[in-house]
Amino acid sequence: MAIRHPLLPLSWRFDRRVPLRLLVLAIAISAAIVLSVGYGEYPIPAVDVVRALLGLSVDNPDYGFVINTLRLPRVIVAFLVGMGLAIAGAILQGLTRNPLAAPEIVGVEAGAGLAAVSLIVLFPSISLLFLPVAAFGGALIAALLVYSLAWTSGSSPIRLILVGVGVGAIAAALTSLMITFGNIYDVSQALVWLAGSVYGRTWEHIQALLPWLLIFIPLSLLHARELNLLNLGDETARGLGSRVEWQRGFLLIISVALAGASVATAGTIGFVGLMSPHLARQLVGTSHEGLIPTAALVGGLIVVLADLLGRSLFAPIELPCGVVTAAVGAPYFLYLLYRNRNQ
Amino acid sequence: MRGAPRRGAPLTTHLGLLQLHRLSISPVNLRLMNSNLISPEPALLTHKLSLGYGSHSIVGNLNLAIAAGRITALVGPNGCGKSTLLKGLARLLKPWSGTVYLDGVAIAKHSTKDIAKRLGMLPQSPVAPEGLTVRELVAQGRYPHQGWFQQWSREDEQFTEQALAITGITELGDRPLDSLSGGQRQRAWIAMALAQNTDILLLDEPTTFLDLAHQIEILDLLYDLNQTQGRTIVMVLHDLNQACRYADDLVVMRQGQIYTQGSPDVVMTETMVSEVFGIASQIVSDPMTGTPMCVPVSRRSRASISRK
Repeated sequence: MAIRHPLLPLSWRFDRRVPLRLLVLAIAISAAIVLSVGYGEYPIPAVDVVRALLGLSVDNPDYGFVINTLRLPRVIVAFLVGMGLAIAGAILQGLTRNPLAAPEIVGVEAGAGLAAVSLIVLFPSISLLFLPVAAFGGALIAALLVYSLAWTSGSSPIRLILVGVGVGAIAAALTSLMITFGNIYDVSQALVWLAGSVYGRTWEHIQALLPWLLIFIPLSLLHARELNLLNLGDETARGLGSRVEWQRGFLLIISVALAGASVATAGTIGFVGLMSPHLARQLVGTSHEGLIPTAALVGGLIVVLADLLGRSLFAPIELPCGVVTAAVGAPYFLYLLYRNRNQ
Repeated sequence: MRGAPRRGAPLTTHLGLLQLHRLSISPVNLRLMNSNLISPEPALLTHKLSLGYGSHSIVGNLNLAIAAGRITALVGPNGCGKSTLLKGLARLLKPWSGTVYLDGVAIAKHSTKDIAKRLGMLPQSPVAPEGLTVRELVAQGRYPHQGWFQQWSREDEQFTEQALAITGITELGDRPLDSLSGGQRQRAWIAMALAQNTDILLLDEPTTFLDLAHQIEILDLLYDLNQTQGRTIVMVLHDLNQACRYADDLVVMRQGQIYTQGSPDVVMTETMVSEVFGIASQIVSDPMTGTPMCVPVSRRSRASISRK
């Protein structure tokens, strides 16, 4: 399907499945958010949640506080982080033409985690706003390391994964080192954060995360077309007039920035960046103009649901949502490995 | 005299030509002054082109003129540098030294997108992502003509549908590429290159991995494109006899150099085959087309001859 302006040279093309699927996903996410905000030790009826979210008057004065201060920021963080990780994964998979690539698999999340933990342990009093910057730096270093070790000499999918896992392991080991030598109070903070949780996230966290998403999500949509080209291989892409190296570098930075900022906000929530693009591909096909927004919403939905499940499964004990996504994502990763092997 | 065979293209011709380009002397004069040039203005020209990978040199100091509006086949034994040369011509490989000229202008002076509007390249056995449909693939060929605000103009749609129709795969448009046969898939890739709508098409072994029927089908398609639309086609071919049948010009390569270049009738000799490919052969006339045909002499045929 195409949108064209009758006179001006404006035109876009999209898969005809995209609008409806996006709408359905948006509705599902809204429902999940309402459900998640209403759920807890102090349950709030869905009608009141919706009224409060829309800014209408609510009978019970406590509702406003519980919703706006305690629960809503947490749920929004879950949604935003899911979007960031999913887009980062979709870009990485497109860039590397590797269905197994994802920020958590190729060491990008571990690099971001190391940088963020170092910051928490070494500079405990530093503002939250610097956490995404540090995480971005760590993620970028990890990505460049993996890139130089694996991608330049052929792009074998398994090689990339192996190098990524190696770099991830090194980063994780250094993170443990930081934790061992750090001040006990800072360390306990870092540990909660490392598990990949949206527990106790506030509007401040959203404030630190949002600028990154507002810059890099639109950029990812602007460059979606380039991913379609890179997907055809370097030679074909170059033949069609793409500045391959430049585009790849730029897309890598977008991906790393989104993954880094997400990890800085909610820790390492695994497998979202891996699963979301695959599920989105099932929904809207391979074209990245539709795939990236779809993957973003799928990722947001996954993390919101994972957080809701983590809170409700063994209540009153709370599982970090990273544990829930890993429980679902790890088998999915194995399945992808198996399928990839058989090709 | 057109396309006289010569060992290596004479350097003077090319140097002279370059200067003429700068002075923008008309094609007519050019033809008069360079009587052994095949066509007035070469579509592609290389000047002392050297190419290689890493520290491994493949093509050295090569001068070559590719005639516009004709079919040129690059042939030679494995590892002779014909695919590398094709990549160099398509600016997929950065030259170590030397220059490629596209329509008389150094290729490095064009933006890569501008080149993509004039020169299409189909790499050897390209791969597409899982689940990509034929129409989506072909539509990618429109990339050099698009911008962010103009992503899918009426023209883009027309050229895409036209390319599907010319290659006879319109009805396969919505099928995923990985569900097609080898011949259909290759036609889809050629359709993508056609949608790009370039005057020059470079193809690296477009018939590899195809059975004989599909090979002929693809080559006939390229021949038709050349005949009806006047596109310049340069392809690497493995099969000498097919090259003789379809190409106006053969460029025979050996060890990174041009051994000879010219029309198949002149170039295809038993000496050439023996010096370039290292086999004894007989050149006979193709019963269908009258073009030269190389019949290799193998141990088995020698034995059967001697028995008689």
